Parts: sequence; C-alpha cells; structure tokens
Amino acid sequence: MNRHWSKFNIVSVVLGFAFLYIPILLLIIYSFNASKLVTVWAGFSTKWYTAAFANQGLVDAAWVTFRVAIISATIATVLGTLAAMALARNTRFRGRFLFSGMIYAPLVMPEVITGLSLLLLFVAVGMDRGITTVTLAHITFSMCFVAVVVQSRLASFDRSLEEAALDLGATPARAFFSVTLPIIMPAIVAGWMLAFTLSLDDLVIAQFNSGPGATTLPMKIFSQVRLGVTPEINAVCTILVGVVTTGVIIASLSIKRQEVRAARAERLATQT
Amino acid sequence: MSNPKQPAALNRTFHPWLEEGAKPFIEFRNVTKRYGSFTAVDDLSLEIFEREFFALLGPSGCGKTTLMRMLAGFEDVTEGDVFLAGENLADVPPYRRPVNMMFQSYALFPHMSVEKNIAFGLKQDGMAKSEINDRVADMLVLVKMEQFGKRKPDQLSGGQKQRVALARSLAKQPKLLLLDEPLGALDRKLREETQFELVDLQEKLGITFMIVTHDQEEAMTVADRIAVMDHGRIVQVAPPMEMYERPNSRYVADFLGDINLIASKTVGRAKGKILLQSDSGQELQVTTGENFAIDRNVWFASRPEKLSISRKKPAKSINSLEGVVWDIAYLGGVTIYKVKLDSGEFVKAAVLNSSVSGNDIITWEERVWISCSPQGARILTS
Repeated sequence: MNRHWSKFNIVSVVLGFAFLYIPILLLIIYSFNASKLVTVWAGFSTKWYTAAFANQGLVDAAWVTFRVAIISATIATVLGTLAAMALARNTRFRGRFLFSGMIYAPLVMPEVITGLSLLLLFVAVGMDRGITTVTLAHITFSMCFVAVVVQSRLASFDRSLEEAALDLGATPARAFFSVTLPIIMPAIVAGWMLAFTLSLDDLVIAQFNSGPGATTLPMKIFSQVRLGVTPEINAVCTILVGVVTTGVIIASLSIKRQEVRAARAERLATQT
Repeated sequence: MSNPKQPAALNRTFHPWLEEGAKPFIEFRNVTKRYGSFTAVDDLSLEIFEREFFALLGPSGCGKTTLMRMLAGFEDVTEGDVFLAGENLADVPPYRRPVNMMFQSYALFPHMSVEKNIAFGLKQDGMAKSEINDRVADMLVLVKMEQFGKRKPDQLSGGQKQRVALARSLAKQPKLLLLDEPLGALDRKLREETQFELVDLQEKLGITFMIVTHDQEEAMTVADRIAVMDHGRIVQVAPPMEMYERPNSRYVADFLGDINLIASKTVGRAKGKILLQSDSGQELQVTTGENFAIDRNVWFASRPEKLSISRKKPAKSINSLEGVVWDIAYLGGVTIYKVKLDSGEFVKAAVLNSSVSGNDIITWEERVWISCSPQGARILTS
C-alpha cells in the first residue's frame, strides 16, 4: 500500500473537509464572540452561553425537544423492531410486498407531505395539537428508519440460534428475549439513536403538528433567526453540535473496543 | 433386498431391525413434505430403533435434512405421520419434544459463556441451580472441555465449538439426539478422530443418535444402519457392510464408494451362478443366490478392489478382460489403475500396495488382463 499522499490527494481531502466543516467551525467560533454583531469579531467571551441558559424560551424548547425525542425514539424502536421482525421472518405472507413498501415509503416521502397529512389527520379526529401530536408524528416518520436498521441486522442473523433455543425447551417468547433480543441489541440501540437524532433536528414535521406550548428547539431557533441571527443562537447550536459529537465519539469508541475484544478472542481460539 | 444372514465379520451383535416384533422408536409413516410445487420428502416410510446410530446419507437437496428437521419439530409434515416412542408428534411443538439437535453451524449463543450455553436447556426445565451446575460440570468432563467453561464461543476453535455444541445438546439427556452434518466444519484428521468419539459416546450413553451427512465414509464409520436418500425417497436402508457389498441399485453402489459397471444381458444359469453376456460380447459370470429372468438387461457390477490386474492371462479365464492401462493414481496405500478395455469400456482396479514397491510394476500403456471372481461381482437391475 502506498503511504505517501500525492498532492492531488491532499488537496481533495482539504477541500472536502473544508466544504463540510467550515460552516460549523464559523458557527462555533462566533458563539464565543463578545460582540452582539454576529459578523464582527470583538474578542473572546462565553457570555452568550450564559444568556442562552437564562433565556427561558430556549430552555423550555430544549426540554420539549428532548422529551419528544426520547419518547418518540423509544416507541418508534419498539414498533420498528416488530415490523423488521415481521419482514425478516415471514419471507412469504400475503401482502408482504405491500407491507414492506408501506413501511419504507416514509423514507422517501417529502417531509412536507408527511407533515401535512398528519396535520390533516389530527384535525380530522379533533386532536388538539401539542406535544402529543408532535411525538406521534415523529414516531410515524422515524419508525421506518429503525425498521431498516434492525432488518439489515436480522438478515444476517443465524436462524438456527433461535431454533436451538426452541430445541432446548425455550418457548418462542423466551427464545426471543433470551437469545434473539440480546444478539440484535446493538442494531436496536443504533436504530434508537437514529430515531432520536431525527426527532431532535426535525423542523418541518414539527412545524405542522405542534401547537401552543410545544415549540421544539429547531422551531425556536428557526423563528428567532428570522428576526436576525443572535450569538445566543450560535451558542445553543454549538451545544447541540457538542452533544451529537459526544454521541458519535462514544459510539465509535465502543465499536473500537468490540474490535479489540474480537481480536483477543481470535488469538485465544487459535492458541489452544 | 434384505438378506437375513449377516456377514460373520459384522462384530456388533446389535441389530433390532432384524428382530421380529421389535417396536420401532421412531416411525415415519407415509410422510410427504412439499414446499409449494417442490416435493422434499416423497411418501417416505422408515423405522428406527432405540439405541440405534442411524445415518441419513445423500447428496444435498435429497430431503435428508428436512426429514431430520421434522423430528426436531422445525418442519410440518404435509401428509403422513411421525411417531416417537409411540406418540404422534404432529401437535407437539419443538420445545416439548424429548429430542435435541446439534446444528451444522453449532448455533452456540454468542452472548453466553460455554457454561451458560450448556445450562440453557436445563434452565428452561426449571432445574435447581446446584443441579444445573453439577450437570454442566459433568458435560464439560464428557467432552473434555473442563478448562473452557468460562469462555465465550468466539474464543473457541472449530473443534472446541463442536464439543460445546455436542455437550449442550446432550445436557438434557434427550431420548434422541439429532446431528446435522456435525463434523462438516472440521478438518479431515479431527473429523476422523471425532467420528470414533461419537460412536464411543453413543454406546456409553445409550441414546438413539440420528446423523445427517453427505460424507459416505462418515456414515459408514459411525452408523449401525444407513439410509441412502435420493429425491425425497429412501433408496436403500442397510448396515454399512451390507450396503457396500450388496447395493440394490447403481445409485447406491455409486454413492457408496466406486463401482465398475458393464451393461450386459442375462443368458443362462449354472450352479448358483448367472451367466451374462456384455453388450460388447464378453462372457461374464456372477455367483448369486438370487434368480433373474433370462434375456434381461442388467449391469455387471464390481468394486475396484475386487478386480485384479496382471500381465499374463489368468489360468482361470472366468471374467477376464483384456485392455490397456490408461491412467494410474498412486494413493500410497493403494494404486488405482484405470484400464481401457478392448471393448472400449473403462474399468478401475484398486491394487493394495502390500510390499515396498519394486521396479517391476505395471505402468502406463501396458497391455493387461483385468479379472474378477464370480463372487466379487453383483448383478444390478436398476
């Protein structure tokens, strides 16, 4: 393998990263700007972070967002896992094609349409828009992502593991909880995290389906930005970036640890 | 085509299938299994007896695995019935059958230690904890894996995994153990060793074993009886020696070992022998107790090791055919000569290399005589 980087490689990597990260970098830098004007640098300060935490509207919105994200991700994970099980296990049942198509349709459905149709539904059944409707809407659109993640794990799942559990006397329910579930857990956790982040940064669907007292953070930020970007918003966004980055780092560290463990297991197996 | 007289060399005295009125432990009664338009098992009936080591042998797709999975409860029966110890298994779910299975992939639970894997089945039965621990310890001793109890399956070699899978399937002391290609993933040396260990284990535990394999040597090593399957049907059921020496068809003869076939016609009888004429005009004789109609199309069949090869025409010129050495495969213990007969047919002769070979050995393109005693051949009709 060639370890030397050609000039072309260096340039393309630098440009690529610049394209991806300069906007975010700017946002982070200006969140530490002392000036009230976003585009004029006037020295380092953390005062906008203090201001952000003091802004009751922002804090409320953050609280709503996290509540919605946690509840909707959890329910979407349960439903998505069930859908994935049905799809992976019953390779031929009447209407399977339709079922799988309908599960995956929201993946490609424009958010505006999903949001609008849910709104129409909630109006039709006379449901007051608020935190419940936002949560329901998020469950609807994030469930299919969970189903995709879990189904791809189930596709490589050795069915004979489950059969072995049945063979050894476990009822189907016990076989699922003591064998299948622990083994596909990483995929379920990944699905949950995906659903969580999707809910966290959704604006369009929330816009359609939320009501008074259920303003999510993206909605709040968006409405504030329309009145002009304040450094306070930069600070909030930086915190969000921090949360997401931490999540990513934890996830990749645990994957790395698994790899190390697998390598050690392999060494043990070949030694004896 | 069962012969009531067992060959004397068969040292095992265990053959309940010959006893009159013996009750079968497992019985397949006119069992058919269809997947859509594909028939995996076709109107099959089979009886297996207690403490028997029974092998299902056949190429992939012949229905042997389906048959085994019906016993475990993983496949429904489309038509017919399966009985285990007199009980119809139709409505018994897999987790209530006194049957355990060792899977081809071993199917060890990757998130559990070796001990937990073995204890899994016992725990499902609600056995007391101390009892479970004792049983697990016994099982580990049985498969010589005492020092590996705390390991995870990932930390074991293929042979060790195989032992754990065996221990797990035996832990519940099932009445019947099913083995689905249990040694398929092991290398040759280890496989041969393990075959003998399986036989010892089965004799020690007195459990009925049923093994599915496509490896004829494996089936012959371990089994009391073998069933050769083809396209969802059983072609022949017999102990290994009988199956090899008296196959009932070209299919079985060819599946178990090598066979030379010469298309012939029956022309006469003489003193316990049947006289044949090969399609190329050669006269052949076969000693047999069976009777065949005259002028019937049959095959003269003989195993390579029952043929002898010589430069001179043998004194007794029965079943002697002349030809040219076409190919030689030196395998160490034996040498296989592929000879092209003057009639155009090819036959294989296996010669045991009983002494350290000298210079005077038959070589390529030499003219040779191939001969076979009338006792060393069989007549096959299908």
